[in-house]
Amino acid sequence: MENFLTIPEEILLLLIGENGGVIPQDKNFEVVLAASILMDLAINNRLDSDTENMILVSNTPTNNTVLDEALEMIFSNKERKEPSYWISQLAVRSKEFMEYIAASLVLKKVLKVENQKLLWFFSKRKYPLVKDKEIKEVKLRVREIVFSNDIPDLRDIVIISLLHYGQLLSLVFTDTEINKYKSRIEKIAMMDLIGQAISKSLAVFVSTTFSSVTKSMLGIKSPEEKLSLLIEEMKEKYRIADDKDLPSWLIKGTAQYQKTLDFVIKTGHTDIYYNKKKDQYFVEKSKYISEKTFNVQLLSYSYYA
Amino acid sequence: MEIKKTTLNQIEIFEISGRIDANNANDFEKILVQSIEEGATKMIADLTNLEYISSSGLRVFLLIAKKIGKNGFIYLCSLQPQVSQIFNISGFNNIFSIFENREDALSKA
Repeated sequence: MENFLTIPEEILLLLIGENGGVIPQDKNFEVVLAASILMDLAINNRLDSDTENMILVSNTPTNNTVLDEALEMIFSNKERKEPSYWISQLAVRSKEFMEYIAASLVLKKVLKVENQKLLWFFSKRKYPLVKDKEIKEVKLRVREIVFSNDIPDLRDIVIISLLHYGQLLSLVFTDTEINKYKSRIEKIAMMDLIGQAISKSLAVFVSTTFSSVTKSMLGIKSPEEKLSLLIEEMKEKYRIADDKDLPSWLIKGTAQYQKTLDFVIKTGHTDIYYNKKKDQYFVEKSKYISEKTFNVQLLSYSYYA
Repeated sequence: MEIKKTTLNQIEIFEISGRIDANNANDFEKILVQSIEEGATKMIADLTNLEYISSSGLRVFLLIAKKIGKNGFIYLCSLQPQVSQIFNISGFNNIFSIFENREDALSKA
């Protein structure tokens, strides 16, 4: 039976539901989302795995924008088989993917879009639930399988694995329940090999403390220096060792990098991402504008005015 | 992958050899599901000659165990060390009854 929602959609829905309709900016979420994409591809027989490698099975499109973008990335570089590499590559594009996932949830009439004005020129986008049927269904399904001794479905294994290794169990369970059913949750989380391989990588990413570009930006720097800081943070955050594994828009010396730099000069800050399909740069709109960030942005605007 | 099916005292015994991976997991699933649809509730998978199993293969066993549920069983026996390791790593040894050899599995059936 075809599922109404993909795994990334179910995960984003759980997070948005818990976050008052706002796409979370949590550092864990980018890697959890990336892992959920790989897991969905595995469920849909595009990827397989054993204890060591991720195995490419089929690049037949799934007709889901996010899954197919990921599939194209993975099949265009068949030499890289480690799930951790693909988690980092997909996580780099997580903001772009989140847009598509949220849009898909809106099209499926699970979420709606609300644009709120903050101050006089910043806006914040919210995605309130249209109805809570789907989110309740996901939570109920996951809870029932954990509280019972039944053999879980593959889809439930994957969701529980992501919640467990992504430290997101509190979206579905109370602290008391997490403690009480810890052993059962751990057993379910390990049941799928690709889930296990992905989740091990996920655990490494999640445990990393990221540096903050914003802090570094408090001192006024040139656009190029700011962009270099962003690159360094991305490399640390997504465990990218080689510059060639950076997203194309951040590889120095390329025409695309120059476009990125132009965008940084134009907007004055580096809270940006590039949507490859639309060939457009975006400033992260959905962030809460804290006083500190606001001041940094004002500094940036005045510096380049 | 090759599968040889025999029946003994209403127990269906599947001797599986070779590899089970994404290339043949669907075929493997179809064979086992067909047996269940034809009324089989007691199964033994003899894995003496199974050399390799991937995530896709494990999922078939999971699906079959779910389909049989409490109405019957699927026992596994004679796992090679490399296959046994995969079952242990994935925690499938907690879901399935695994026996040293076919005789032990039959005696518990």
